[in-house]
Amino acid sequence: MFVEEFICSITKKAPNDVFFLFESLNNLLQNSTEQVNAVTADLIDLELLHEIETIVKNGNTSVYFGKTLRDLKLMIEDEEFRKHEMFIQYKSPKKLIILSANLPLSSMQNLEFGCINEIIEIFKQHVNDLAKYFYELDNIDQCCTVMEPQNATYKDEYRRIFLDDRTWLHIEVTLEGLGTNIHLVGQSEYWNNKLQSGLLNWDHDKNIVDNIITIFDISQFPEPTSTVPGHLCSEADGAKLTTIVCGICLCTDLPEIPGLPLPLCQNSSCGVYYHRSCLYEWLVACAGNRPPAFGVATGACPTCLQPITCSKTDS
Amino acid sequence: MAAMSPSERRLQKELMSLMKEPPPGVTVDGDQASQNLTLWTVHMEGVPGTLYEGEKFVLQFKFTNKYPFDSPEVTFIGNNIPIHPHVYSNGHICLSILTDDWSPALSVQSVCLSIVSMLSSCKEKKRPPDNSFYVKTCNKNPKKTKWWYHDDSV
Repeated sequence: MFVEEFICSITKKAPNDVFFLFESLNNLLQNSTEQVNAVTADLIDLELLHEIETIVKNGNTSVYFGKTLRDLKLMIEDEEFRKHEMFIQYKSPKKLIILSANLPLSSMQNLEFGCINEIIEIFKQHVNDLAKYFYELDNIDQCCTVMEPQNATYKDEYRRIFLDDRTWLHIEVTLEGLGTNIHLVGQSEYWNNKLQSGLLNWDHDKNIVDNIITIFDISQFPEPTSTVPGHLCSEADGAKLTTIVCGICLCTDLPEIPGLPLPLCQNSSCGVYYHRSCLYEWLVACAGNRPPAFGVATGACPTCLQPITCSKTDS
Repeated sequence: MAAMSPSERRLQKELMSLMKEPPPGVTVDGDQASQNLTLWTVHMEGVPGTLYEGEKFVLQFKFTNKYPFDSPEVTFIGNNIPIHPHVYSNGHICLSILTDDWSPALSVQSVCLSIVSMLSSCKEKKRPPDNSFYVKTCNKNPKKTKWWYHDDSV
């Protein structure tokens, strides 16, 4: 009996139906116990299947199978009805590890667990500890125009908030829900002066959004005006977030290098964004491919020809 | 689908936008270009009210895998090469943005517009003064020519 093939065929038929899988597996076991035991023991743990069955019957957590029966996805709902995804892997009997989740995992990733319920308990505790973190991120995502990351999730511990076409505010949120490493992307003197004087009065008892409102003395968060000028593809039909493309590669995302196009040109009438890596490559190529001193390339903006500088990495 | 290189990605985007919203009098051969993204044929019509009214020209764009960091190789092809002080009879064009002044912020569309405007501002149809010598001695690739941009007015 080709157990592996058999399991493949049933998982294809009903990839997420644990009961069906379980029933089919039971049938199989009853029909040919001897042959199967040796193989299944290696493939999948019956104890684990029983546990999955109980978890799914309880209804608080959904369990899905991945590419193999060893890869599981858990969907756990917290007290605020947020759904959290977690990917776990069955290593060997009573040895499960967490592969990834849609939120920062801190030290949980390197631990081994005896059963799924153990993981769920620890995860729920972790989620409770992160309550303030979720609150702050939700609040930022609701009140501000977040330019980066695109489609931000709880896994992203930072936000880049739109201030104007040339300036974004970078803020990281600690797992305790505190704002940290706050700085500007872009070199606007106006926003920078406010940030420098305001940071001293940052009040950790107030939430992040209120702090930003106080620092910059704004009544509401600015939003990008229709489309950012100078781009070939602006398919933001009335959407709040405009699609920003790099003036060099005309793309938003680069598969090879993370990061979105940035307002790197400081000429206020230019308004074209570039990927740091694209602009850097061009400026270095213009300078005869010699690596620049201190990793900062200088030259002319490809669009407006005004002087521009670009460091190799995001500082 | 195989992963596209950065130059292919950009060319694909430019092609889509040029086919969707071509500048007046300019049409790109989309079928040919999508089969081979590194070789485009662009048809161009002389602008009404200029010396080239009613004429039809064909431009060829060749791209390397370094595009847009490397400028495209642009020449007139076919049997109607415009008679213009900056266009040699072999189709080579003396235009600074095609070599020294190239910038990755330029595009096929902006190159086409520059060429249209170069033709449109012409006051007298004639070949460049060094045409016969240049055509006999030049490299096949106009980017290998060390151009001397002697006249900004046309």
